[in-house]
Amino acid sequence: MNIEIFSVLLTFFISLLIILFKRSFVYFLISIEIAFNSLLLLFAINIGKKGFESSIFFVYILGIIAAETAIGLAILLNLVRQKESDNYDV
Amino acid sequence: MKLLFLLLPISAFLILVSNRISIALFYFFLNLIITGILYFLIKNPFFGLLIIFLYIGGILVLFVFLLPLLRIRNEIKEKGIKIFITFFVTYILIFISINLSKLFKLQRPEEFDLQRFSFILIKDYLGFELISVLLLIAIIGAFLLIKDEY
Repeated sequence: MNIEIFSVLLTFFISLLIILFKRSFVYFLISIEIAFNSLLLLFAINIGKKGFESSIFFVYILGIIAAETAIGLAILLNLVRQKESDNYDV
Repeated sequence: MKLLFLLLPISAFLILVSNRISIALFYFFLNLIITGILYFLIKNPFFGLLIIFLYIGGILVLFVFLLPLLRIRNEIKEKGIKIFITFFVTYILIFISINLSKLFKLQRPEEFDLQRFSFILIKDYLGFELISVLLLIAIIGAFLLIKDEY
């Protein structure tokens, strides 16, 4: 068993569990960040000797994460103002 | 290093079982710090710095500043059965992750060359331009989402 891949995969699965069990939109955003983060780490440790040029995608994905957080926090602000709760099931 | 890798799922699990958002944000901070250190340990300091600057300096600070403004009430404590289900599902996920990790063979990267990476980023693939357009779209989208309130 490879400890690196195991722990990264487990982190990814736990972040999916957070989406499943928590009803708060803040937890939802945090779990998306953790999922992206763990997959980026898996990408970085598994890129191989010949795949140096593909590390450009690391920067693209970081840009996507930053954009997604900006949009997510705006949605959270709207949700709290309309429903007075961060629970998206209300 | 392997011990530090094991701290990643532990910090994620602590977020899962925490009931207060402020405590969850602290564990999120720990998770990000551990990730940043791991990038340094796999000899990729540029990505480590990028993670620390962007996540902790940008995203986490955004969360921390926004949450007091929203005045979100703390979550009601979870019932015992839900915590039991959480542990049970996590146990199953550990089993799945162990089996999945046996399938893959790790291909270690070569040592990070910042000069080469900078040329790739700026000259070959137009990385900065694409990211700047994406961030501009995100800023406009976020502004449109909250515009009506002001």
